Amino acid sequence: MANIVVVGQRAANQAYNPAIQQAQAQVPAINNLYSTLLQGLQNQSGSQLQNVLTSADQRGVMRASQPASTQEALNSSLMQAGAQLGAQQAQGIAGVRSIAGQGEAQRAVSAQQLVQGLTAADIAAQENKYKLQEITRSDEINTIKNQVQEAKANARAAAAAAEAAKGQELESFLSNHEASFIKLMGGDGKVSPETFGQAFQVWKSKGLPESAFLEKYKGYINNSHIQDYIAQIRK
Amino acid sequence: MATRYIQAATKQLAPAYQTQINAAQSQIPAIQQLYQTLMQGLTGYQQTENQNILEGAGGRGLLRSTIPVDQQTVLGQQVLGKQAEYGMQQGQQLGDIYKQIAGLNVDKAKGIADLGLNMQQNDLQQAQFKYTKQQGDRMYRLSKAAAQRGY
Repeated sequence: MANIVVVGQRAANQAYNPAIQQAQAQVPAINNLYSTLLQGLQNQSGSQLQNVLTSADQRGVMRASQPASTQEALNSSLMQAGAQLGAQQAQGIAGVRSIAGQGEAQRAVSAQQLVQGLTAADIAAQENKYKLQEITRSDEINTIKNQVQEAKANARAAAAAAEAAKGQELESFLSNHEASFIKLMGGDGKVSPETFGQAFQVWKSKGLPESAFLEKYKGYINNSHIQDYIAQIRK
Repeated sequence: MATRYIQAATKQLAPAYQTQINAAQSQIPAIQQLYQTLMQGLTGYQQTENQNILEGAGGRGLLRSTIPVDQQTVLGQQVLGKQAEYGMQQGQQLGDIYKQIAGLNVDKAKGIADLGLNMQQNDLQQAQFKYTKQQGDRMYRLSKAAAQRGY
């Protein structure tokens, strides 16, 4: 923002300073002009007065009042002419100073208008940049959403596949598990309590329910010492 | 309008208008001096002419006559008329200057108000964009977090 103000001020200065300085530069010239005019007036008045006195002497005019009256009239005329010049000089200087002041006022207004224009353009550029950023962000969020959805779908698929694999594994396990029981049973068609307990631990490690194990393999228990089997599975 | 905008605008514009006001005011002493000199000149002229009238009458042997008095009276009326004319001209010239100064003061006040409003609108535009951006940034963060959580 500070940079925009400097740019605006600089541009306004470049536009208006020459005219302002030109106006101000006329003041010394005006002063010089009227000083010269006044000096000329005074010289002329001096010559006229001398001529009056000389003429009076030559004509033998002894009456004192006439040359004195003439002197007073000449002096009064000089003062009036001088005052007239003074008024004109003041008017001339006031005129150029007024022009300079007008230029300064226009310069200040112009600088602010430039700043306003530059600021509006800067804000518009920032807004456009931000809109592009919002589009990018929107794409980013949509991508994240898609990725999360895909990850969820993949997770569901993986869970389903794991569940299916677990089911297949379980089916295979059950088939092999019973086969093992058959291999390990004694001549009475029963297994020992230790074998029963180990098989139960393997069953449990697969996450299968205890009641299902007892239901499936209760036929392999020797009921004469069932407590031994219970003690093994309770370990 | 906030005071600070008026103060900033005054700082920028007031000097320029003061230059013009000072320029106008600077003529006043010269004008007053001019008419004072003219008035003094009239007085001197009247005295001289009165003296000439009397001397002229004396020279023609008119010792006591109404003619010199009538002439002096006419002269006096002429001088009075001229003084009135000078007074009117001075009043008119000074009046024009005072009117110009009054106009400049009005222009200055209006210029400062316009400039201050301009500055305020500038700041308002920037503040609006800043607010819009802050809100947008906040919504972006919330949306992103929600998207990452699966909402």
